[in-house]
Amino acid sequence: MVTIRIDEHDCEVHENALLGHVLHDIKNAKIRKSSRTAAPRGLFCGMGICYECIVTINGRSGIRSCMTRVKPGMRVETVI
Amino acid sequence: MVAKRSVVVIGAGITGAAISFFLAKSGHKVTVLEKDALGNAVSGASLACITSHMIDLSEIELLKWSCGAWLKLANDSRANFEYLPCGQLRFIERESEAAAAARYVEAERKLGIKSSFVEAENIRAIEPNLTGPVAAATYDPDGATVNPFLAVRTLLQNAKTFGATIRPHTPVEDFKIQNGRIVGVVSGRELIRCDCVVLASGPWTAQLAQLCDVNLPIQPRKAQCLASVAVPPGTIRSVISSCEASGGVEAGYTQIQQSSSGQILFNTVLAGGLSELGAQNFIPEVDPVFVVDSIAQLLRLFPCLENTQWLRSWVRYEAVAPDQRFLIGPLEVDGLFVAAGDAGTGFIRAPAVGQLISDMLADRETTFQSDLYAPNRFDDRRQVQAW
Repeated sequence: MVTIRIDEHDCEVHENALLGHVLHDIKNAKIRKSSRTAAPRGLFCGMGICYECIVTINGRSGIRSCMTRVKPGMRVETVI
Repeated sequence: MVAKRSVVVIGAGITGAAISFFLAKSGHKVTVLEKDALGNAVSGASLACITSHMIDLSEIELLKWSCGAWLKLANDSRANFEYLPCGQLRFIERESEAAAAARYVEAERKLGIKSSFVEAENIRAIEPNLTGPVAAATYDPDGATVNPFLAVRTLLQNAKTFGATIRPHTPVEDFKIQNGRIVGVVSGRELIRCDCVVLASGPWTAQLAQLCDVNLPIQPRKAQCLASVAVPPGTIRSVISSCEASGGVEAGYTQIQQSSSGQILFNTVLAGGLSELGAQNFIPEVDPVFVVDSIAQLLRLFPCLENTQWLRSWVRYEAVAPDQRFLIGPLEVDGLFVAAGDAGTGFIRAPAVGQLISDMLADRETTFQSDLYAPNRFDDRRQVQAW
């Protein structure tokens, strides 16, 4: 297990897990809000095509969580 | 010298894309009209398996040719549609069906298919995670999958290099017929003139044919699919299908595979399962009972998937003729052809359908047994003249 920070919480997650899957689980499928309608968004295609699961990682925005493996100490910010 | 014709192909699914490619390659002036986005409907929602195994013994020559054509397309260095030669394993749940499956495999082998019967204890050598209660299996090492979106686009792109025009978002509203012969199709205010029209419109084919006063026995059939989040590569190695030991067309089918993105895909068609005409115009959500039953079936076969998260589900309507075979050939109106009725196996047959339509337009003898697909085969009167 490794520890990553998701918003304000430290979370123990499986090493090498896909971040999108972790967020899908922890955030009850709601990973971000639509900037236009504020409706919840989350994993949709799960394979890097749709960009519905983007988050900010270590200060860098617009990263597809479904294509990103967790790393110890990773700081993840969601907008929900 | 074959007369070059101006041909409109209606539908840019895998069948229309393959027909366009083969016709354009033969020198015809091809225009593809698609009412929505390219490959967006049945093809895009499919699991795109390519195999000759346990499909239909009477079609075996066409199936072998078609599988070979896919391999040839995939070997083209410009092609990239994720052709994955993963093999296909058909599981047998009831001991009582094993003997019939073994006989079917025997018959296939005599016709040159490399399929084999697999005893229960040997299944794990092929599919290590298939640890559920399975009585036996059959295996075709030549089975493969393709990415359905990329395959449609590749064939259309190939057609384009031979001069075809591809027009998405161009719905056909009517046909122009003069003296019993098709002379054009109408889309919006535009009349697109042509010598021939090929209806390759899947479950929409019957309603288009009706505009020409032609009745085709093609009905929509509901297929339901599930996709998981990505799991480690190799969790499922081959295409896993239920075994219709009798080769019977009444049986429903199940297909499970892992996509190159790592997701587990699950597809089921219920036995019978035909929907009323027009069902394809209003795609519903997947039936929740289907989701529960499908996951239960999947976990029975692959217990290792127990903690897998499921991501999405979708419905597609495939086009089905009464005997589950394509309708391919000329219709009552001169210059009007049909190539539809995939029964969920359009990807397998698409290149052969393209070749067959190309042969028919050239009035050339075809190597395939075309009477199996005659559009008038359900018509007792058999009055339609060959075009």
